[in-house]
Amino acid sequence: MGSGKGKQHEILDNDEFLKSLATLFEKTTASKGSIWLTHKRLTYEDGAEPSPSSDPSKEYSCLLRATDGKSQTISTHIAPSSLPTFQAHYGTLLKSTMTQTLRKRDKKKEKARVEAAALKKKKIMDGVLVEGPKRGNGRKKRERLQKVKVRLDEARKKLEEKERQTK
Amino acid sequence: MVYIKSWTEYQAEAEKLYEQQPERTRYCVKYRAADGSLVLKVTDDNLCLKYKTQSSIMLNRFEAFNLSMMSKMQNRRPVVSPPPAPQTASK
Repeated sequence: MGSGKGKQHEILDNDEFLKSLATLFEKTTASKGSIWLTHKRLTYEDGAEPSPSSDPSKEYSCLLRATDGKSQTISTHIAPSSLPTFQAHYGTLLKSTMTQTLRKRDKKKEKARVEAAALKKKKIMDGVLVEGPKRGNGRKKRERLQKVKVRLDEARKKLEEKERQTK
Repeated sequence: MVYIKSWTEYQAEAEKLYEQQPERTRYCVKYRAADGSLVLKVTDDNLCLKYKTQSSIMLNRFEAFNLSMMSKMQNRRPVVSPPPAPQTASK
């Protein structure tokens, strides 16, 4: 990966991380930009070999990384003992930032969506009646209906398969 | 990449995946303020589970899920101390 853009990667302690994360959220809000957060168990410690078997009685630190995808990356190790306090701050920070932009479900839109889905399903289940003259005027229309019928039949089969599998 | 529609199903599958591969599984979150969307991804580089949402009602569940995943990663279990070995040297 070419690092011509001057990517920054900082390992911070928990409090510093939370502060930087708050700043990161502020910078990428409103118009564009994303934030990626990654949580992983820390099995590498200062170049030591990762143990192949996960010892059920061993406690690990948690690695938490945040990036804006462009130039800044911050990360922190969370020790098992500091998890509850960190979690409290982390959770509050996430909730307060995200609740500003995530929307409460629009009831009208959802209703419209459900109705559209139901209509589609009905169409598939009902099928289409192929009728019309086989020759002369209206033949193309009949052929079109035949094609639609084939499509809907396949869709119906798939739907029934799906329902059978989930039952 | 599997997008799971139901939250309960997603949570169950993600936790199961983590239990199976605690060393390799990672939990990623992508937050786009511009779209107001939140995407969760849990993958062990073999199987990938994703969940997408735009609703703020999910946030509490999201936070609880965060907590549960991080606790799993840390494997917070009190280490059972071995029974005290018999003292061979006398005091």
